Amino acid sequence: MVITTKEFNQLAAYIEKNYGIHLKTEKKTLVVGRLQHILQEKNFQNFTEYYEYLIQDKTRQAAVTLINNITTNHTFFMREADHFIFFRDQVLPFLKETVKDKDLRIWSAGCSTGEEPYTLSMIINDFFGKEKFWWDTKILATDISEKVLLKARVGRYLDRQIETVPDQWKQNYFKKVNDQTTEIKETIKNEVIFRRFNLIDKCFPFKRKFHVIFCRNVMIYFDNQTKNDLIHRFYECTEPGGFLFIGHSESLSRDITDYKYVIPAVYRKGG
Amino acid sequence: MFTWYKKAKVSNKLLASYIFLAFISVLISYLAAYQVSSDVARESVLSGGVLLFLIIGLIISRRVSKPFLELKNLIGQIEHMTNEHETGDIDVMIPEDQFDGEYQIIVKKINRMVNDLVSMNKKAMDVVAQFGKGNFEAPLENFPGKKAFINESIETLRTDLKKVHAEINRLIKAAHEGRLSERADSSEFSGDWATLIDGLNSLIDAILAPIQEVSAVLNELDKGNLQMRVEGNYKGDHERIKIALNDTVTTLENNIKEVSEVLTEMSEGNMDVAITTEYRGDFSALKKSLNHIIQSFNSLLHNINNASNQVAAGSKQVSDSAQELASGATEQASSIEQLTASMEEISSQTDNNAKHAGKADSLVNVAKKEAVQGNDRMAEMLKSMDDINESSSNISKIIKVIDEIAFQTNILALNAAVEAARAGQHGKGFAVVAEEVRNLAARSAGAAKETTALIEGSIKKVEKGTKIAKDTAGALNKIVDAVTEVATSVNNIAVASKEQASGISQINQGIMQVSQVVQANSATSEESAAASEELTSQAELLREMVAKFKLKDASGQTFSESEKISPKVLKMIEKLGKQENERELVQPEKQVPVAAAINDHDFGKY
Repeated sequence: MVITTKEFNQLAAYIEKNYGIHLKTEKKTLVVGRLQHILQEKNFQNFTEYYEYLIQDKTRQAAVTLINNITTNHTFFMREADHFIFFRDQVLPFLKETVKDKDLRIWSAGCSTGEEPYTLSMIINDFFGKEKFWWDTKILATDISEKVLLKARVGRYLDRQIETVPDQWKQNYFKKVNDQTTEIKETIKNEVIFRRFNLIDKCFPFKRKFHVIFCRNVMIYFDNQTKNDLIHRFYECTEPGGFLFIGHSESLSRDITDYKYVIPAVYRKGG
Repeated sequence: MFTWYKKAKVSNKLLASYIFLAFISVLISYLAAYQVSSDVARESVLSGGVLLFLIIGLIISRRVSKPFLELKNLIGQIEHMTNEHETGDIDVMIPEDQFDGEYQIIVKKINRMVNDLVSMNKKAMDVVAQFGKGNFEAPLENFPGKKAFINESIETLRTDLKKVHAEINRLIKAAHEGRLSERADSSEFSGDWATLIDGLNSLIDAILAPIQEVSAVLNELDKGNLQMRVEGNYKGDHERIKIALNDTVTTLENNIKEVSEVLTEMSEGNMDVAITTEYRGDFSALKKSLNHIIQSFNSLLHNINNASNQVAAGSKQVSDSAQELASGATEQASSIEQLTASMEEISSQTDNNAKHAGKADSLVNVAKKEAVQGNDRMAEMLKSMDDINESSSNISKIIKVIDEIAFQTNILALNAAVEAARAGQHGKGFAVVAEEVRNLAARSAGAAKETTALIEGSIKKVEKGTKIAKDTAGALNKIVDAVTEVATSVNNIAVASKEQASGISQINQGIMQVSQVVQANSATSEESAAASEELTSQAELLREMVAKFKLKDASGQTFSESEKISPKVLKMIEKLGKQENERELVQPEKQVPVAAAINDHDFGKY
């Protein structure tokens, strides 16, 4: 299956406009590789037919399938571990001191298959210990792809996927399903609210501001304008003194945001 | 007029008389000259007048001069003494022996008076000398009478000196205490003392005025105002101070201006600057330091520049490779996906084969059984053939009997015919019967013959059939053997197909795992491609930021930043720009349709 430049540009523009994912011409292979089986299943002869189907589909199924397939969902437990150490040693003690209503609001934006919010939840569980009873520490974890959210909700991982998890966590927060698979325990699963959310939506529907936002290695797929707009919306919905975590390869320019640099890829709102 | 004359000195009176007489004589000569008509005569009259005047003067002076000579000597001596005294030789007296009489008495008195005065002066001067040595307490005897004025004068002087001393002391103290605005009060003093004190005050003013201006300039300097200069017109040391301070401020101003200009340039990113003018003393350290800083910045920024170029180029390569890797991995993933589909196809075919092989196996077994059964039947058939053979030979025997019977019947019929012929008419019917019997016998013999031939043919055929049946039995045996072999093979095939199916299922599992890994790799490499691209753009940003600095080149000359970038990097940048353009060209925003919203609505506590 091949995609013509025109077809690719059409599709890339559609994807970028609706989901913010910026696909350069180098990504032709990616688009073909990830979408060709949809075309085969639906018996489309070419990408033009597929595009017509996509834009005329009144149910959201075509879009959902597109999103499920076009997004890159790379994640693993303890990814960019420095962040979790900082979160545990600096952020949580600060929040414990300052959040008076004991309602912790942490958002894992672009949670993929759930490794990040589960890691955060386990850290929170360890940190608060028995005091957690008094706290509402539920984490909001969103992604645009239904496919990964499904996996995340199930919370089952191959053993090789949890190799990086500390043994104590494996004991406390995981249970064996079979000789290859391990599942997150309900106590942790219940601490994460998985929802589908498109980050490029101009209006965030959240009731209250967040203490911490993790949006790591998500904006690397966006173009600059989309990225800057998103950072602006993040800032607007961050509590004063709240934190934004981004991927280690990313950085925020001082010109475009009021977030202040703390450590690499960690920023903070003043106040 | 006459009172003046009375009061006038003798010499003046004499002079006046002389002038009066001279006037009279000149007047007379003029009057006489008017009486004469001719010029020559007039001139001679005038000359005569003047001559007359001179003669009269001479006579008068002779008469008067004698008593004056002594007086003149006295005056001369007095003058001499006065001069000597004036020039400091106060021991000089008028020599008393040069005068007689009244003059001598006068001289003696004058000498005594002078002596007294000198002695009084010496005493007074001793005190003054003491004053001069700084002893304001030196005592002075009280002089009698009007001489007491000296006491008064000395005491006044003493008082004045003490007051001046006290006033100066006060000023000194004030100066010591830094009260530079303190001045002496001249109203307590009169005359030159007042002038002195005023002078002192103006001296202080003269000293302080430049100091105050200098101080004001220094104050401004302290406030950072480098525009102020000492403007006053001073002389000597003050002028030197003024020039020195003004030079200092000018130097400071120039230096600071230059440093400031350099720093401003630097702040605007121009590092191709330096302090070029001559700095003296400690300023040279400043110049050296600043130039050193600039040099350091230059070399640092050069390094950063090089490094950022390297990083930009390097990270571009990394992201290109990552992109290639990602494409590869994605391609791999879709290939694996296709491979999985193919394998599934193969797997189902193999299953089918196994199934068919199993079916073939059982069919072959059935066939084998059938073949064995066929063989048995064939044996039975052979036996039946033998029986048929036997029956045929029995039939042949019977037919031989029938043939013999027919032969005999024929003979009998012949005999009967003969007998019938003999019987004539009566035998005629019998002859017909005999004929009929004979016919029947012939037909029987024919039938027997035919039957014999048939039986023989049958026997031959049975023989042939037996042979065929024997061959068939052999073939069937062979078939049974073959079918047994086929059964074994088919069995083997079935077993192999099953193994194959399970093998393929294992392969499938393996491929599934590979597929998962490849999918993960694809995601990983896509992510690293995106991440490295992010890094590239940041490296590019860094490069741009550093490129804003105007630097000295290694030889100290300015160069344009773009000249320094390697052509490869430039090409990349160009390419990047082009791609951006292409993208922009092919993506008119308005034509892009909007997808259906896919967000969840309820976010729990969020």
